[in-house]
This record gives sequence, C-alpha cells and structure tokens, in this order.
Amino acid sequence: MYSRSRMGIAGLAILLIFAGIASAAPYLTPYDPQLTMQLASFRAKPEWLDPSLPRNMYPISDPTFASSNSLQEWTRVAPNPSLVSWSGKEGYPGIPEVDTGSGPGSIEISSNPTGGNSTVSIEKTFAYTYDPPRRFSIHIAYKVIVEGNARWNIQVQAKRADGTVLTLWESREQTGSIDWSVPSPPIDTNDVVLRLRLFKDVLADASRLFPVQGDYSVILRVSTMTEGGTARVYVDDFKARIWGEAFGHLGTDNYGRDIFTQLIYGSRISIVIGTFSAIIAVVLGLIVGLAAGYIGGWVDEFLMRTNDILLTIPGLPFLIVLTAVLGPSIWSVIVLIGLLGWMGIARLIRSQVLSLRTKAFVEASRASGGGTRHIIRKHLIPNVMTMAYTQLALTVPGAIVTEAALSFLGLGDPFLQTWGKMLHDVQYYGAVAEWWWAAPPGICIALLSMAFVFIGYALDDIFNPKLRKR
Amino acid sequence: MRGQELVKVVDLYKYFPIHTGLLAGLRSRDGPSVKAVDGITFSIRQGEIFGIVGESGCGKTTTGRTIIRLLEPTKGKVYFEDVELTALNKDELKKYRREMQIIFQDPFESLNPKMTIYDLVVEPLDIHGIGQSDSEKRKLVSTALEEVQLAPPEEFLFRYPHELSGGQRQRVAIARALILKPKFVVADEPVSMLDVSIRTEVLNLMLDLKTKLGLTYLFITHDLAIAKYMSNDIGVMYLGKIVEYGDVSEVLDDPDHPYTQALMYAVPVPDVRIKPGVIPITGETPQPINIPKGCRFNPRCPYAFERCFKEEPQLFQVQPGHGAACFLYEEFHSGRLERGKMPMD
Amino acid sequence: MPPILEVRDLTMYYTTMKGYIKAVEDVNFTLEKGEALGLAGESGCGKTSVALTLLKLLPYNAKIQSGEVLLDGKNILTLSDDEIRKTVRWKRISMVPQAAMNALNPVFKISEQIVEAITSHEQVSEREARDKALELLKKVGIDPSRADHYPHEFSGGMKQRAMIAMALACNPEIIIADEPTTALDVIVQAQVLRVMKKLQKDLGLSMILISHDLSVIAQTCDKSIIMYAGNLAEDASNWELFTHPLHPYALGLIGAFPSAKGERKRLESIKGSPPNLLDPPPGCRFHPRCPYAKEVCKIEVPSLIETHKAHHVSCHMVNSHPKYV
Repeated sequence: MYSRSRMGIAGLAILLIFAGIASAAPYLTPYDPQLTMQLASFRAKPEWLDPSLPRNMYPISDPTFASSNSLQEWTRVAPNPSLVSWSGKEGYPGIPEVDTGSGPGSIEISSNPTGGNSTVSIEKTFAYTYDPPRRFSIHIAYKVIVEGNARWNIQVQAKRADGTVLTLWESREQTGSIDWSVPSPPIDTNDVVLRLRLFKDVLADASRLFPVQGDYSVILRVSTMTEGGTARVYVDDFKARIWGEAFGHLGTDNYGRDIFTQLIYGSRISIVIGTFSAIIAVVLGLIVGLAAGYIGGWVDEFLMRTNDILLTIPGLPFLIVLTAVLGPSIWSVIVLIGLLGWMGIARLIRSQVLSLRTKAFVEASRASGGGTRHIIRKHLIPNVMTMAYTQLALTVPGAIVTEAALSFLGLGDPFLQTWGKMLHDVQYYGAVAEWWWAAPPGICIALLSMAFVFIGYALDDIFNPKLRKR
Repeated sequence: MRGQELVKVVDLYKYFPIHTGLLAGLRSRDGPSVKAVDGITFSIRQGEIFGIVGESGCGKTTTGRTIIRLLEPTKGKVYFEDVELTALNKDELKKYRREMQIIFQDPFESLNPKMTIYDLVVEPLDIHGIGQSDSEKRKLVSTALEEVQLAPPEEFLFRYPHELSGGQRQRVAIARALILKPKFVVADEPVSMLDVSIRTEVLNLMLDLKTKLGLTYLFITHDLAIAKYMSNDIGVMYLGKIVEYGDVSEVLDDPDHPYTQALMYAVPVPDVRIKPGVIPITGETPQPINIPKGCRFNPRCPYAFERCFKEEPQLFQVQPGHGAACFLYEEFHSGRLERGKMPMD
Repeated sequence: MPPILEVRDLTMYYTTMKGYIKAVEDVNFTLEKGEALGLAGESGCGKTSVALTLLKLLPYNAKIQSGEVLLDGKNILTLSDDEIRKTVRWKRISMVPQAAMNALNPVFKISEQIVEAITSHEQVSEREARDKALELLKKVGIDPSRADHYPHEFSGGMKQRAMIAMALACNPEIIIADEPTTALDVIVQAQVLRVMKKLQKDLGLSMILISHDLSVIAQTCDKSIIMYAGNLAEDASNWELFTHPLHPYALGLIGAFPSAKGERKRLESIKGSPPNLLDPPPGCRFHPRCPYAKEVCKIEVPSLIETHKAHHVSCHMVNSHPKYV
C-alpha cells in the first residue's frame, strides 16, 4: 500500500539518496570536512563557475626529489654540470616528513672543486594559462655542509613571462654548515613584508608575479665561494604552489576546507541527529502517553500537567540556555531536542490510548482475565505503534532544523561541520553573496526534512484510511 | 433443564459520577451521577437463558458488565455458585473469570484488528496459562472454531478480522468466550449489528451451544422479538430498575406493568394480521440522571395516582414467578381498586 | 388513475477502481397516489441506491445505465441537474435520509434549519417561512414552543420528526423515508411511525419506506417490494406478501424474523451471505443460497412475472409453476 503513495515513494527516494551519500561519503570525497584545510585559496569559487579562474598548480612535479630522474625537469646552468647532482639512495624511505628534508633524495649542489666563485642555478619552466592568481608560495628545505673556508648564498627566484626575474628569497651570504632549515617567514605572497619588498605595495598579490598567460620559471640559484674548502648545498622539499581561486564542486570556506565535502558529511550528522532525537522524543512520548492514558487517575493528572508545563517553555531559547550551560556537544544537542520534543507526541498517544481503552476488544481481554500489563503489551502497544511510526517520521524534520538553528547561532559543536554550522560560517564570514556556499546547506536541510515529511504523510494515509481520497 | 441458582444478584447499584478528575475526590460522594443501575435483585438458574429487555438508557448493558465485575458495582452483591463475587480480590477474581464470559454487541470492535483469529481465540488460554505447547493450543483453538461452525478451522486461523463477515466475526467472539469452558455467558445485544438473515443463524448457534455445553446465559437485548425467541425468563428494565419479571411468554403475552404493556403495544411484528395499537404513554424515556421521585415511571404512566408520586414500588408478585413493580397490583390485591376499570382490560 | 410514480427497468452501477458495482439491476415497480410502499431487504441489497436514484442524489461515481423513472408520466431521469433541483427535489419528491437525526446542524436552531429548507426552494418571506415551519412542527407532533431549541435539546425521536417536518417543507407528493426508525427505541419508533401514517392520510402523501426491519414494514405499509443483491425478488401487497410469500428469498427472510407476539417456534436461517456486487453470481443472484435452485437458475436471469393482480415475482421456480405459466 505504501507503494501506491507517490509522496511516500518520493520521500523514501530522497531519504535513500541522502543515506547513500552519507554512507558513501569517504568514497565521494577524499577530504575530511573539518580537518583538511588549505585545499585552495580561502573562499575559492567552484571550478565550474569560471574556467579561467586559477586552479591549484604545483609547477615542480617532484618536490622531494625521489629518484635520480627528478633532475630531468630542471634546466641546469652551471660552469660544470657535475656540480649539480642528485644525492640519495634509491629506495631509501628517507627521513619522515617534517619541515625539513624528506624522501629518499635531495639535490646536491657543490662548490667548485678547484675553488673560487661558482654560481649554479636550476630552473623549472612551466606554462601558466589562467587568470592572474592571488597567492603563490614556495617551500624549500636546505642544508649546507661546509669544510674549510667557504661562503655560500641561496636564492629562490621567479622569472616572469616577460623575462623579468624577481628574487623571492635569499639566504644571505653565510659561512659554516647548517642543518636542515626552512625560510622564515615562509615564502608566500600572503606575507606583507615580501609584498612590500617586491612590489612596494601592501595591497599587491601574486597577480603581479603572474600578470599574463605565458611561460614562467622557478629558479634556484646557489652561489659559492671557496678558498681551500668545500661547500655542499643540499636542497629538498622544493614545493612551489600557485593557489587556486577555484576548487572542487562547491569551492572552499574560510579555512580552505572543501565545501562539497562538508555538505556530504553533513548529511551523516543530520540524519543521525534527526533520527536519534526523534527516537528519544517518540519513546518518551509513548511511555508517558501509555501510562497517562491507560492508568489514568493521579498518574494521568501528574503526567499531563508536567507535559503542559514543559509545553509552555519556549523551545529554542531554552535550548540556547542549556547548551550555553552544558557546553556545546552533539550529544547534548540530541538529548535536549529529544527531551523537549516528546510532549506533543505524548498527548496524541494518550488520546489514542483513551479511545482504545474503551474499545470492546480491550474489555474483552479484561473479561478473559487480562491484567493491565497484558493489555498494554498485547492490545495497546500494537495499535499505538502505527501512530508512533508516523510521529517519528514527522518529528525528524523538526529535530534537523532545530539542530541547524542551534549551530547557526553558534551553539553547536564548533568542531563539527553540520549544515547548520555551514550556514553559520556563511553568515559569520559575511559570505552571503557566495551562493554556492550559502544555498546548498539550506536546500539540503529543506530536502531531507521534506523527505521525512512525505514519508510521514504517506504513513498517515495508510494508517488512517479515512483520510485517503477515494 | 433448570437447576438451582447459578447467579444471584442482590440489591445491585451502579452509579457513574458526572464529575471526574482531580477535584472529584474532594467533592462529596453524593454529587450528581448517572444512576445506571438503581437497585436490582434477581437470580438466574443453571441452564436457563435469562433475558433482560429495555430501551436505551435503561441500564441493561451496565447490569451485564457489572455482574461479571467488568465494572465495579457501587453497592450490592453478586453471587456465583454461592461465592460472593463482589468480595473477591483481583487474583481470586481472575480465577473466576474462567467461569463467566461475555459476548459483545459490536463484532467489528470486539476483535483487535491487528490480531489474527488464532491470536484472538488463544488469548484467554495464554492469560490463564492453559495449554503446554503450541500444537496443543492450536488444537484447542481449532476445536473452538469448529464448535461455532467456522470450518475448516485452518481456513480461518490466520486471517484477520477485516477479512471476515459480521456473522463470522461474531462467531469468533463466541469461540473466544467459550474456549475457557465457562458456565455462565453474558450476551450483550450479540446480534443487533448483524444482518437479519445472519441473526437467526447466530441465535440458533447460541441455543445449540447452550444445550451442548450446558451453558447459562444472561441475554441482553432491546428487541422484544429476540428476547421472546431466546429467553426462558425475562426481566424488563426501566431507568435502572427491573419493573417486571417472569416467564417470557407470561410477561410478553400478558404484561402487568404499564410500561411493559406500552412496549407490547408499540412493538411491530412481521404479521399483517395484527394491527398496531394505540400507545397509551407519551414522551420519551428520560436520562437516568434526574430520576423522578416516587415510581420512576409516573411522568408517563396513564394510571399514575397519588401513591405513585410519593413512594417507590417494590416488585409485587402478581402471580407465582411473575412480578411487577406497580402499586396497582397491591391495590387490586387489597381490594382498594377494581380491575376492569382500566382501559387496558 | 395512473400511478404517481413508475420505475421501469432501472439499472444503476457504481464505478470503482476495482470495476462496476452492480447495485441496481432491472428494477420495476409502481407507486399509487396515497399508497405506502415498503422497500425491504438486507444491507447492500440496493434499496438506498434506488431511493437516491429517484432523486438523482447519487455520488459522482454512480452511473444510471438504463431505465426510466416516470413521475406523473414524465421521465425525470432525462432532466438536467438544475431542473431536478428546481422542480422535483423537495417539491415533488422529498427524502428523510438514514440517520437523519445526525443531519441536523448542531449550531443552528431547529426552526432556522426548517426555514432554510423552505426558503431555498420557494420564494417566500422569512416571516411566511417561519409560520410554515411552526405549522409543520405541529403536524409532526412537536410543540411550536420548542421550535427555537437546538438539536442537542431534542431527543432522538423528536429529531427524527423534525427531519420529517423538513422533508414536508414544500408540500411534496412523495416522501421517501430511509430507515426512519432504525436508531430509535421501540416506543419512540411507534410514535414516529404513527406520525408518518397520520401525515400520509391527512396530506394524501405517497410514501416509500425503506427498512431492513420487516416488522416495521408489515405494520406501516400497504404494499412492499423485497430486494436482493440489486434485483427485485418479490413485489406484492403486504397481505399477500406476508401470508403467502412466493420467492424463496422472501420466504426465507420472513421466516427468519422472530415475532414478539404469538408462539415461539424455531426460526430457519438462510444459508450463506449476500454476494459481492462487483461480481455477482450469474443467472439468478440468489441461486447459491436457494434451497430450490435448478440448473436454469445458474444461467438465466429470471424475469419478473405477474402471478396475481399486482403481485410480481422473479424466480424460475415460480415462473415454471403450472399455476403461473
């Protein structure tokens, strides 16, 4: 009979889609909704919005110099090609990734064995085909072993399409060995000092580095000067990154987290919160309704007055106060929504029990000798369960929306990206115009709630045949 | 076969207070109430069918339920085989529930729509712990279904009530009532919601079962024709009291109480030779809340005289085994009034 | 004088998702002026459907397949809905429906409801309508001083009589009463029936009384028709019907009725139950339950023949009896 209700089928279909998404989440997206940050520029747009927006680009294919072939992408300029070599052991797992040398190998640039000055540079050229980016960063780890008297200087440069070369960072001439180090502050166009130094403009960004489409290069320049000594410079973890302004299906949020991932994982939470809260509310409502309806008398009066008192409490403000007091966590949200949602159900169940109580088949059971527990178990509960199922379906949307409201107000778990929290982020960071971020969570809340409502109506139709149309 | 008294009802009262709830206990017990049963006394003999007839609101349904303590009597005693039913506690009463059963009026409502026929008929067995194994219980249920002519039982065991006709449902109710092998069955308008041609079947079934299983019935109905067909003795109730009792043919063919007389004048029969009479009373039966002072029939009685407005008449034996609660007969008996002066005679 | 109402070959089906419910099949009868006709049968036999068809008050899924309903010689089935509403319903044929007491609107006074019935059919002033309403109430035995009461202040019998008064609002010639006494107590029932008979005599009304209770029909009507599963089984004067029923169903039905007066005797029931009208048995619809069924009954529908004056039966056994051939 359920299959005859189009509403019910639609509701069930939507619910199954969401459930499928929720369970298949790890396969639909490789990222973690809370933790995987900086996937692209903050508040990047969706990729499909504008194809010319810059995408994440990593010009250096093998930043860890995993094998001796890694040098092939680089063009060497050196007085003697042997001065630039790959240093490492094939197959050696290397030092575990820290901000310093990792992977099996690194580049070794040596000083001139015969002494004197020597400048070696390696250059990686790549084509840039997007609009000018806003952020560009380079990471490099370097280690220098000096024996004897030697001085060295490392520079990281960028060559623009028009041929101009800008030095993004240099280590300054130094003597002596140093162990694995990284530039500080990091080489990043987000760094104000770098922007000032390079472009004399605080408001400049990476678009000055990559103003047009064309061929660009990243250059590593090592100068050594030895007088009866050797200097060997090791370079590793050489990563260059043009930060994308477009990423993924729905862009990124303020922390560079993938919004699409958040949307997908949000479905898990909404379904869980919705159903658990609703189950708590319905179970409570069932117990109270059955007891009040069948036992009657003082028990009924007490339970119903409690019911009425709780009904007068305005739900959301009360929840706000409680979460402020108890601290925001998803379980307290679930329990609270459940504890404040049972009253209407209890009333409904009670009236049904009252009408069942006078039915002849209950009297017949009593006449046969059935006691209170027997009657509740055998006659009342089965006849009341239909209403319980319907109420369950209809309470879930309320729970989902309540959770969304709490999160929107910032009272939810701050470490959980629910749909409501996403809406909170949108509003908090003033990103309302970014409709690909603002609209989907709201739409999903509405769709999932609607699915449950449809299911509830279909169940209602089946269990209350008088409401059905001919 | 009429034996000794099986059920004796002595001064039974059942009042329903109008105000219920939190403050009810604080009010006095004599607040306004519906006096559904207002003092009745009668007895039912083993093996007989005692009919209770009356119009709606006369208290007959309440009487049936109160006798088997589905409702608790406000006052009065009920004896079953000399055991005071009204004094038993809950556990003792449960044992006696096996001896007395009830068949309800509505075959649609008296069966839980969510239970199969098997579940419905086996429930009394489960409540009393009868039947060791499932197969034993199944056999008992099948036998009960065969007794009420729902055969073959396998065809009915796993159906639901809504799949059966009204007559079949009522048979299931009868099977359920009889599976505990009771001695006494209260039948509360068991056929009034069934189609005419089905009624006869069910009534005949009840008569046959009575003979076969040695049952005793309390048969409650508003239909005088059915009461005549089924009962040995009847009691006519009006506003909570029995106003006339006796052998059914005597009471109906030669009614003594003015109310019974009015009923017999008013009742239609499927016989064109009998002309409908003039009904000697007016008005409609009042609600059992404001019961008139004196004889409760006095507002409508064509013979009401002074005494009727002051005192309440008790049942007076007009003939052996046939009594009426009407002062007229006392007056006749004592010679203060003469028969023949009444338009009835 | 020609009969005031003549129903010929009336056939009406209800359309449902599962198929056609053949509720009324080839029903023929006449009603003379001033006559009380009883329409008897068990639930589902089609009697209410016939009544609704006469007034074209059928639900949207009912379709009249064939037949005529001649009111004073004119077929009213051909009239449009509008014409029926303006000329026939309530003005010439009126109805007191089943459970009529529940048809009273609880928030309006009884007098107001009767006035509404009058003013929606006739062009009269409120004053005149109210006078008429009080007069009608008096006719049905309700004191005019109670006219301004609300329905809940009336007893069941009084409500029923108020509904009868409402049905008489426009002086119809025919009144159809559908189970007028079913929910009433014995004494009240007798009072209501007495009022109806009196009205019939005083106003020269023709009446169709529908009931499953043969006792009521026996006491109130002049002639009766017994219906079974949408067909007409027997049609005769009450005297003939109750003393010499011919159709096996009529025989069985009358024999299944206990009587409150007279001697007790064992009643015989009719085996089986009424058929499902979605798929009624072929031939005579009663044949699965008939103790006299023959082969022909399973194949051919028996035709209605006149066995005596104004006595019709549709049964093969009767048809083939030498007396009636």
